[in-house]
Amino acid sequence: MKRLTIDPITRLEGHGRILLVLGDEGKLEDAYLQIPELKGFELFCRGRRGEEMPQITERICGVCPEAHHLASAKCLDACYKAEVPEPARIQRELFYNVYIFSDHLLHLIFLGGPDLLLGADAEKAKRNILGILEAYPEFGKKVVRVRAGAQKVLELIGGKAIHPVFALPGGVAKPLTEGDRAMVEERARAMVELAEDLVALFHEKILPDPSFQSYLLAEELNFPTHYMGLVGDGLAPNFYDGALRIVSAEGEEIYRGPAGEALSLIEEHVEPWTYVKFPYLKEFGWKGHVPGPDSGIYRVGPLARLNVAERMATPMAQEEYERYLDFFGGKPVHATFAYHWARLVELVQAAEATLALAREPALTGERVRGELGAPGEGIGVIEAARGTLFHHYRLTPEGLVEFANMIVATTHNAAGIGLSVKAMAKQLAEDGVWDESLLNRVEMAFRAYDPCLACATHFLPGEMPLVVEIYGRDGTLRKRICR
Amino acid sequence: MVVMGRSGNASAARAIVALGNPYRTDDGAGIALLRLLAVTGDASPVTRHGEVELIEGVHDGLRLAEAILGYEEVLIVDAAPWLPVGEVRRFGLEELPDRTGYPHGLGLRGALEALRRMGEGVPAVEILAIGVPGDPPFGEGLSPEVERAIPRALAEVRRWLSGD
Repeated sequence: MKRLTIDPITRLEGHGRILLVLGDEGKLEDAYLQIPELKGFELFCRGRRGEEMPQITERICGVCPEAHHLASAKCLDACYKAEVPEPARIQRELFYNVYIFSDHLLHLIFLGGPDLLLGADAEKAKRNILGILEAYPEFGKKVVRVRAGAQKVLELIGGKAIHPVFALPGGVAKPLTEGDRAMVEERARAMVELAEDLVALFHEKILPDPSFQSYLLAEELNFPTHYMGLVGDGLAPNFYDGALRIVSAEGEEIYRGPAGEALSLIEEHVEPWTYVKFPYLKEFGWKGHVPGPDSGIYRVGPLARLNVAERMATPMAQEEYERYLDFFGGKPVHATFAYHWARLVELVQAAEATLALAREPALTGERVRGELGAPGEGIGVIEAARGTLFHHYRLTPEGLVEFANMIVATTHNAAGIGLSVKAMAKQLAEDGVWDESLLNRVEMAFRAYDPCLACATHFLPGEMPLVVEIYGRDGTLRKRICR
Repeated sequence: MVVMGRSGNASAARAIVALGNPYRTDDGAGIALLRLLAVTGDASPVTRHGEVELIEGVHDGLRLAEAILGYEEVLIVDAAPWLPVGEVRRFGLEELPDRTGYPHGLGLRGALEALRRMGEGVPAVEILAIGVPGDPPFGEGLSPEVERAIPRALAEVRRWLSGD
């Protein structure tokens, strides 16, 4: 049998690179994370018809097309000053909660799962879906079955399995029937049941594990930054819509208001070693890649959303949120590995919210499209699974895109991920071991964020390659570890 | 029956799945080929090839594996920056490297193996790769070099459809 060698770094758009710089005594001096950037995409969008944007932008990413699709539709709602009728709003929100559930489930069990359920020291060949299925056969099967049911809901509402086509400016393409509702409700009940099982598994197997606790409580990985996320009624997280809230590293509210207006609070810092711009809060300024209450660095995603919230929106999620806060002694929680636990709390809310939305009487209402006004400028903001996603367009009077800008979650988190990677690498540098195990532990730090490096590309083997390069102070490459 | 964009329902025994981004020029070579198939009639029940479903836009390993469950045979068509530009190559799934550790994806082989162990019906998979330049820019349409490869890729699809 012949094997093809596919060098992962040949696809430059889609790989992550971690650079570690050693000092004279071989100790870690600095660490940088380089991630791909959407070079030229905004330019490509100019001149397109506005209503094409939800179908175009969802192709940016094979990981979260649902988030781009709805962020784009919300942006067009704003551009056309359209009121979205209630049945359409419920459809969108229901769809979106299923996406959050499905995405978080994939991460918790199969992607981040091996770190949590098998441990950081599990042999490389087992740190994957097969290892999970071997260790937890019945649970693994249930996860795959429920996730497949969730995917069917996305397909039913979205109109297509992978790249949804249902959201339009001012609403959605078609009403749902009572038959559709019954199908969604059945699957939503299975989602809630699985969420309960997951919470039990987390408290029985994952949280008591001393290795996980050591990462969860590691001082170096517990650094303060500011946080951003959408909140809905009662300041509970809302993935689909709401006010944007920013809290400081000390937990004080910095901003709460229209999500689109928050863009004016952010500036972007440019570094010579990466195309990625590092957003920071203007009020604090850019102080370098340093954490702390005086730094402008902020984070988004599950950890951030639970820090900006005051409660959860659903009962079982609220119970788990309280256990989470008890463990950390209140919020803000800054621990990098708390992202995983926060993701679990959110998964529970998404499952419960899906069931509640499936039972909304207005779900099957006939009026699913609102009136559109004259085209103009708008901003659409949504919480992607991995954090806040902004779409900002300006349309000409003819409805063509004149300006488009997107800020994706991994860009918001770029500085924070870099800090976590550096902290983890520093811990390991004390041991002076720079080998394959380093790669996995450094990966664990950045995997906690569930970062999306896949924008604008796809990769048939299904792997996002990660390269770690270790340089001496003189700039010479000492070692390169590549998966 | 030609079904663009559906997945996982396996209403036919065979499926052709195109990966790629149609808004990134040559990266969408597989999608371009799939759309051509939809109009040539090759995938139509009235031809000698019988029913085949055409699916586009599936990305990572697990989603891809889930989408092709239930079919007996699947041909995956993709742009390949690791091949010389314009080269067309068909090979079995066993030749595809499989890796783990990617934050969002699972290798296709690993994902299919996992589903097989769970008792799912896993199809026989072949890959049709079309050589494209690395890092294709945003835009629509293919470069002339890649466009010239499409008839050869179409011929290869026809061979696969005929059982060769």
